[in-house]
Amino acid sequence: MSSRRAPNGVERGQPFEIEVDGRKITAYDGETVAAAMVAEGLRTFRRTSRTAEPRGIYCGIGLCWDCLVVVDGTPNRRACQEPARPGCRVETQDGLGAFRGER
Amino acid sequence: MDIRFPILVYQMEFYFEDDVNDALGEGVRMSGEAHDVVVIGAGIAGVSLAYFLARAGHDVCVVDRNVVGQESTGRCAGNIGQTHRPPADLPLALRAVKLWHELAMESDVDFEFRQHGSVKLARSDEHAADLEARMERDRAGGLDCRFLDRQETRELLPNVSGTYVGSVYCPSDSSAQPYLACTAMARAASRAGAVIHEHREVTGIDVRHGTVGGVTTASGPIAAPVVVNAAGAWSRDLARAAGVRITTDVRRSHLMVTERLPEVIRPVVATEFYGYFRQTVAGNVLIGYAARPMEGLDRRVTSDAMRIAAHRAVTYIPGLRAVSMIRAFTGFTTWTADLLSVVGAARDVKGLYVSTAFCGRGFGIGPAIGEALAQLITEGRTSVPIDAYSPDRFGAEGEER
Repeated sequence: MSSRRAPNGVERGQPFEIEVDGRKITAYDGETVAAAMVAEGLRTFRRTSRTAEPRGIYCGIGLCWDCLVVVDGTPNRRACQEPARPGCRVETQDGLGAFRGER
Repeated sequence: MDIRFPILVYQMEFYFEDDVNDALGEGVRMSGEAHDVVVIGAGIAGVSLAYFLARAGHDVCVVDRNVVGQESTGRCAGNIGQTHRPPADLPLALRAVKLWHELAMESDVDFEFRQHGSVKLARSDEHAADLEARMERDRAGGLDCRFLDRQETRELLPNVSGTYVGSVYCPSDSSAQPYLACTAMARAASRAGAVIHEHREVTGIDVRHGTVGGVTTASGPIAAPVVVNAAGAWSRDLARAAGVRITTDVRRSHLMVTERLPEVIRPVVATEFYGYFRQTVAGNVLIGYAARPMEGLDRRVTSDAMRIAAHRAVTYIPGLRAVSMIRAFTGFTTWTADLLSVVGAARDVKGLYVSTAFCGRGFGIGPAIGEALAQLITEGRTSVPIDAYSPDRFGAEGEER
């Protein structure tokens, strides 16, 4: 268990792996992507569109839209609202992310 | 020196440079406020009018029960369009784009004025023929717009689905962030000398013997020989209380807002039945949905409107299927049966003017309306005709019609 998780008194679900920018990290059933990333010490979730400044967890409750990441190819997912799922692929987001216009 | 009252605190230092006793002795009205013109409503109609009056040297005051640009103006999509309007609107719409452009150049705030054009999609050959006929009328009126065939439309709108036969493209149609734009106009008015009272509700228009004397407000009366009712959705009842009949109905328009995206559409895209899409400078796509009647003034978002807007969005821009909507809101638009605005002098009350009912086009056309009405009030005539908007057409209050 990562040292950033509370060691005692917390009942966790099953551990599994998710991938963040190609690196495997541990998440527990019931955690969000943001929780798993923060537990791993990852603090930069995205870079802003105009000045490429780092952004991470701010409100943590889905309101501020600052913790956006790309999940399984879909940009603009709020890491704090996205449940971690076994094998999901997370990428830190650069700017506005891609728009896939299908016709 | 030219003294104007009331004196704002920051202006005092200028007054003290002159002989302040002379100035105060002559003009201060300690017993109450008075202006040449009082404008009710600090939306785009009200602040634009104040701007042009103040710039021409008149003492004007704007009163709003809320703050600048907080109602219909701040809740609209920010379209500044010129196409497909009643013929009476076109000269004002053309003028408005020039005025917005000038304000954008002069303003110290980027209120996101962009001239990215507009595209109106034709869904069938029949619809295309109808749009082309209207386009010819706009062209005859001096507007540069042209018909694009299916292929040309596709090149301009690569993310829009191909369920159209062509489109009408107007390169000079524009847009802006309406709340920022309205506050920029209000600041320009203030700098020109207009006084703007926020959080001050007008409770009535003071009319005696068929002549206006000012307004009453929650915090004292304001005397003025000219009063302008620019109260948007509330203008009808305010006018009627002062004995002036205008017949309007207020509709609720919905806007859905997506998360920020890279460029999806550059021009504003209009579909049938008042539907449209606009992408903001920040990248959010605005999905506009038809103005609909409602019971009373109700700004609740309805599930029907959301469902239809969402359906249209993914039909026209399939890539939106996978993006999140981050908020939705409504705004009131005020309409007349003949789709013409109500701007001009009230026939039966001397000194009372009305500026309302822009039928969903108020933000875009606002500065031109303000300029024209300022001319009408001060010179009795306008450089762009607004006769078609006369409040007289509704008849007198109490008269059968």
